[in-house]
Amino acid sequence: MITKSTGYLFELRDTGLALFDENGTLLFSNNIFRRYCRQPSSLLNECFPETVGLEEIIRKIARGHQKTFYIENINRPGKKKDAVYLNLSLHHFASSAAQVVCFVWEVTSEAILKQRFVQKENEISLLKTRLAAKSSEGSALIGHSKKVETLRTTVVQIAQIPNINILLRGESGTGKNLIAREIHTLSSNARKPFIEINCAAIPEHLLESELFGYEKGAFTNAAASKKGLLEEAHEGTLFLDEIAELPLALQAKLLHIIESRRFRRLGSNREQQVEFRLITASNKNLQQLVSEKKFREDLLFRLNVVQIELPPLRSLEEDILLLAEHFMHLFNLRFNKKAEGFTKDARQALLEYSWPGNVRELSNLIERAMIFNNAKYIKKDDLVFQSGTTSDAKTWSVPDGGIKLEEVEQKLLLSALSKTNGNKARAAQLLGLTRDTLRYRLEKYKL
Amino acid sequence: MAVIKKKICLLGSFGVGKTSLIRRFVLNSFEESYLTTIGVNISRKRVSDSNETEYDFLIWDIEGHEKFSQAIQNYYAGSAGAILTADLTRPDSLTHLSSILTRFKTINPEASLVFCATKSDLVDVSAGVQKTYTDWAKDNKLPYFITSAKENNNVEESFIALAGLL
Ligand SMILES: Nc1nc2c(ncn2[C@@H]2O[C@H](COP(=O)(O)OP(=O)(O)O)[C@@H](O)[C@H]2O)c(=O)[nH]1
Ligand SMILES: [Mg+2]
Repeated sequence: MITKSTGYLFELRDTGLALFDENGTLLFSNNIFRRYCRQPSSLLNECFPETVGLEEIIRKIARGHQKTFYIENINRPGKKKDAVYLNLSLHHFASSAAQVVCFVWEVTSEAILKQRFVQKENEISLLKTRLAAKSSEGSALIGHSKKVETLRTTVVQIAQIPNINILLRGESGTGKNLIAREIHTLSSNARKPFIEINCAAIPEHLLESELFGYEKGAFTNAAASKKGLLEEAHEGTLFLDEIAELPLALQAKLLHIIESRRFRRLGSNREQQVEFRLITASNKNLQQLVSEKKFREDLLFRLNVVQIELPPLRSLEEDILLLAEHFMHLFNLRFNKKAEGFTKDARQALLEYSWPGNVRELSNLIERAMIFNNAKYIKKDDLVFQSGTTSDAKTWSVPDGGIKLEEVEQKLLLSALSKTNGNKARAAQLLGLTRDTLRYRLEKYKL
Repeated sequence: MAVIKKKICLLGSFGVGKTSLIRRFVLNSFEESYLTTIGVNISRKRVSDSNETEYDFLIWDIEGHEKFSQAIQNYYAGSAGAILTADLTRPDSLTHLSSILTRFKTINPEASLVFCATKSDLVDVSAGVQKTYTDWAKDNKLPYFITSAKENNNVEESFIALAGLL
């Protein structure tokens, strides 16, 4: 029998106590129970809306078919900003009618400790996954310019065509490997392996055994048989980066594989079947290498079923800013920063720079600008461009219509002067001239 | 017509944005900072489906789906539905979700389910980042939404879709 004094006894131990019938209608409660109720009511599922959906369980407990049920760490808004945490338990109460006893008690201090601990654990684990995510993820396909739109549609379309050979062309740093991965991800073989090899990065004498694998005893160090990357790529995608660096002997072997879809491990006389999508990439002019007899024409013909041209970053105009923001978000995540954008000057500088290293250079630049910087906006001074001037000599070229050298010289002189606010000594320094030569040239052009 | 009370759970790995989805839906606000939920925090909101049945949603924001302790089983008990969440920026959260779903179904085999891929503002959806997620939803025959709590994208739609399935 639960009486007022039983309720009072539990109050001494800071515990809420209540009694309900099998439908969750309140029969009795003490002060503490009422204080913890979400709202005053004679129904359990209004006092504790956490019990909505438990009607069946409550009935079972009332009838003694189930002994108990509990809910841990129920959050309730506390007096100030902090939360209060409660445990609630329901028990069968052996009496003549079917009844349920309910206890409620506060566990705030333990819960807060647990919160701090789990928070740290989760943060560490999030940081780890963020670090693992590649910095340039997805960046090759960001933008609204015509060039990027076209690239995007091409990639989506090509990915749907099974096992067609693709040659990616573009300056270094344009993200050829990202496009290759993207094609793989969008294709029906996405769950099969994506194998990437940089032909320039593996020494020539290792490249062959890496690609083809070998049988035990095939050569002195072959103590056990090993699968080659060709085999690993079976049913997936094989991506050969810097294909121009593939030695002529291996070019012949690769051609054979493409044509026959068969290969042999080193030291084996058994041919095996392989199926994969072959994507190759190069920043060199392969046609020219063919004419120099450094690349096999028949191989190029096979590789080049579809050719995708990756635009250099400098040609993407406003998209440069979108990409810069993409990297900013990425490094916000990675370094736990809160940068929101770029100042006007910084945006201007990003647009004017020549980007000889393309997207990779942009990613590095933003990373460097953000590592030690907690400002809301990234400033021009935070951006350390690799080549000092905003146009790299390598990327300068004479326009098709020609240009007057003297005109260029005059423009450079004026630009140097405006950069140094008219300080001739410093302008001369910028142009690598003596002060006298500068003065002479200024006079010559009457500047 | 009487309002029907329904218990709805948000399922998904930590940090995928469960609390943020609820906060957007119930309070129409968003917080950048991450505060790990401990235990269970329930919110309440009325939702009508397209037939104008009105539900009183008791939305359970739960911590600790990584385990399957008795405490978690008790949290899941009695759910009429669940919103499954995975973070578009963390493919591993989709793998976790698969096992969470299996366990949830052992407690509530009949519950209605909707899948939300979260944080769409952080990825380039036009580049097809979400494909793995939508494929997963299709494989599991779940209605799905690409959502952003930050930019208030498809949040309400997800809850209303769930109401339509109850
Ligand atoms: N950018 C962005 N961040 C989000 C979004 N949803 C959640 N977050 C952030 O992700 C982190 C974890 O979110 P939270 O809702 O606490 O995740 P939970 O652990 O699943 O409850 C927080 O820092 C949120 O600000 C979103 O739609 N966009
Ligand atoms: Mg949470």
